[in-house]
Amino acid sequence: MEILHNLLYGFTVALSPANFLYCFLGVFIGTIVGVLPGLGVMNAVAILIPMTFGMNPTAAMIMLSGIYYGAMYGGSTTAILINTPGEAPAIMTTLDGYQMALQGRAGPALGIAAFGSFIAGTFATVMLMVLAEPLVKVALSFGPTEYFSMLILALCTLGGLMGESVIKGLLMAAFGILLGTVGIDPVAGVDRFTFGIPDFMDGIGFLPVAIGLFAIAEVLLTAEVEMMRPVVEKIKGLLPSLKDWMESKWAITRGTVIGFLIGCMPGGGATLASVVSYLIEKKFSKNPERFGKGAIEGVAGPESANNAASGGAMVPLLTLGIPSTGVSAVLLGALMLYGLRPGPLLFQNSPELVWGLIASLYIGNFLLLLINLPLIGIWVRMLKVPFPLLLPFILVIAITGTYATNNSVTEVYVTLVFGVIGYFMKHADLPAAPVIMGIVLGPLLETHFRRALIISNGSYATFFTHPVSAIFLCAAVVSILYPLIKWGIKKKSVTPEA
Amino acid sequence: MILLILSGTIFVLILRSPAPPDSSGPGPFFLPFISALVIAGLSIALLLQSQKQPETGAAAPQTKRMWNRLIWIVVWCFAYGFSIEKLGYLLSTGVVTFALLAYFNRRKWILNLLFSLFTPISIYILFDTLLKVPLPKGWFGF
Repeated sequence: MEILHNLLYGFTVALSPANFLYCFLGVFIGTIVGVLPGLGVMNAVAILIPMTFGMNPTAAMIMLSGIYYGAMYGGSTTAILINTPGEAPAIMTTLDGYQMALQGRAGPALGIAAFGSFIAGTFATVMLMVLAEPLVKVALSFGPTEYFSMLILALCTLGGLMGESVIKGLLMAAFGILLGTVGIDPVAGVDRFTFGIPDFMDGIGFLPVAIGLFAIAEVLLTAEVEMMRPVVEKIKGLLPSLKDWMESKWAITRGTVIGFLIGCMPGGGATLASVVSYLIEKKFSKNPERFGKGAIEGVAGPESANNAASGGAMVPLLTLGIPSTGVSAVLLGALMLYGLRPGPLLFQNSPELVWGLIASLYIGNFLLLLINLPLIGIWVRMLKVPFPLLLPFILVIAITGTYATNNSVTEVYVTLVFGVIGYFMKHADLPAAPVIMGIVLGPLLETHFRRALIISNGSYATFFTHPVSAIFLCAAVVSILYPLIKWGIKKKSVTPEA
Repeated sequence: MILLILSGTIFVLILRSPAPPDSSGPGPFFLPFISALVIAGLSIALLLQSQKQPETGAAAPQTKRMWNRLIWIVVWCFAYGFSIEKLGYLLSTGVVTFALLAYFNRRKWILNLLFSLFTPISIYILFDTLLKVPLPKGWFGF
C-alpha cells in the first residue's frame, strides 16, 4: 500500500509540466543518440550533464535517465535498417533484424522491438519499485565497514567484467581510483598530486574525464574511417501480426526476466543481457537454424532484454548507490554533482527525486512507444546526416559542456588530454568505464575505509569480523579469481585430449 | 608500459611528499600508494600476457591520411580551448567549426559556412539564454 502511495506521489512529480517536458526531451534525445551510430549513450549522458545544471536535480535525473533507456529503443532502429547497432546492446538485433528488413519485414521487426522494449521496460520499473524498499532497509543497516567492502566488491566485479580482460578492467579501475585521489585530502588537508594547479585542488572532476574518454575519444576513433550507410528505406506495416506475436511472446517474457536480473548485477549491463537472451532463444527454439536468417524471436528477445537491463541497473544505483554499468556510473557522478548522496538515504532525503524518477520511467516507456513507431520516417532521414557534419557539432558541444561546468579552461584541457588517452585506450582494448567508476567510487571508498578504521581504533580485522563485510570481501576475491579458475578448468579439460 | 611508468612516478611523488602531521592510521597517501601498487602489478601481468599471446587490440591508424585527420582534430580542439576566453564563445566556436568542416566536408563551402554560423549561435542560445549557463564574451564583447 505504501508503494502505491509513493508511486502516486511520484506521478504527481513526474507529470508536472516541466518534468514531463524533460522526460519527453530525454527519451527523444535518447532515441536520436540510439539511432545515430557512433554517438553512444555514455557520451551523450556525459555531454548533456552540464546542460542540466540550471534544472532541479529531479528534472535533470528524469531527463538523463530518459536518454539512457531512450537510446536502448533507438539502437534497434539502426540495427534493423542499416545492420549497424546504434548502441552496443543492439548488436544481437542486427543478426535477425537486418535479415527481416532485407526480406521486406523491417516494419514488424521495428514493431516487435518497440513493443518488446515497452513490456520489458515497464516490468523492470515494477520490479524496481517492489525491490527498492526491502533493499533500502538492508542497506540502511550498513556501516562504513560494510560500505567499504561493498565498494571493493563493486569495483572488482565491475572492473573485471567490463571489457574482454579482467586484468585490463581492474587496471583501469585502479587508474580511476588513482585519479580520484588528486586534490586536497579531505581528512588531513594534504595536497595530493595537484602540481600547484589551483583547479586541481578540488580534484579532477569526473565530468571532464568522462567527456574526454567517451565523447572525444569516440569522435577521434570514428574520424579514422569514412562511414558509408546503406539504409533500408521502404518500411511498411509496423504492427506485428498475430503470428509474429505468438512467435515472440516467450522470447519477450524470457528476455525481460533475464535482462532485469543481469541489469541488477554489477558489470552485467544491457549488452550481456541481449547476448544471453539471444543464445537462450536459439537454444529454446524448435528451429534454431532460422536464427540469423530473420527469426523474429531473435529481435524480440534481445531487445526486451536490453531494455529490462537498463531498468534493472536502476535498482543498485538508487538503493545502494552502486553503479552496475558504465552509464549508471555516469548517472551516479551526476547525482553527486547535484550535491546528492546516492544510496539508501536518497529514499529518505529526496523522495521527490526517487519516486518522481520511478514514475517517469513508466511515462518515458509509454512516450517511447508513441514517438518511436510513428516517427520512424524521421529516424530514417536522420541516418542520412553525413558524419562530417556531426563531427564538429559533437566536439563543440562536448567542449562547451566541459567549459560551462566550472567556467574553467583547465577542465577543457583535461577533457582533451583524456580524449587522446581514451583514443589510445580504445586501440589497446582498455575499457574506459572502469576509470569513471574508479573516479566516482574512489573517494567514497577512501572515506568509508578511514571511517571504519577510526571506529575500530585502527584495527584492520574489522573488515573480516563483520559478517556482511567478510562476505562482500570473499565475493570480491572470488570475482577476481573466477576467470583464473575458469581458465584452469578449461586447460585441464583440453590437456587430456591433446 | 606507460601505466608502469605512471605507477613508478606515483611512488616517487609519494616518497617526496611531506609526511602528514598525524601519522596514525592510513595517511593521505595510503590509497594512492595501494592504487599505484595494483597498477604496477597488473601492468607487469599484462606485459607478460602480451608476450605470450598475440595482440588483440584494434590496429592503430596506419596511413598518413588517418594521422592527419586525427592531428587536425586534436590541434583545433586545443586551439579552441586556448581561444574560447580570448576570442569569445561565438567567434572561436565559429572558426573551429569551419576549420573542422573545411577538412572533413571538403568543397561544400556554402553549407560549411552556414553550419559554422548555425552551430555557435544555436549552442549559445541553448546554454546562455535558455539554460542560463554563462559563456565567455572575449575581447570583442560577444
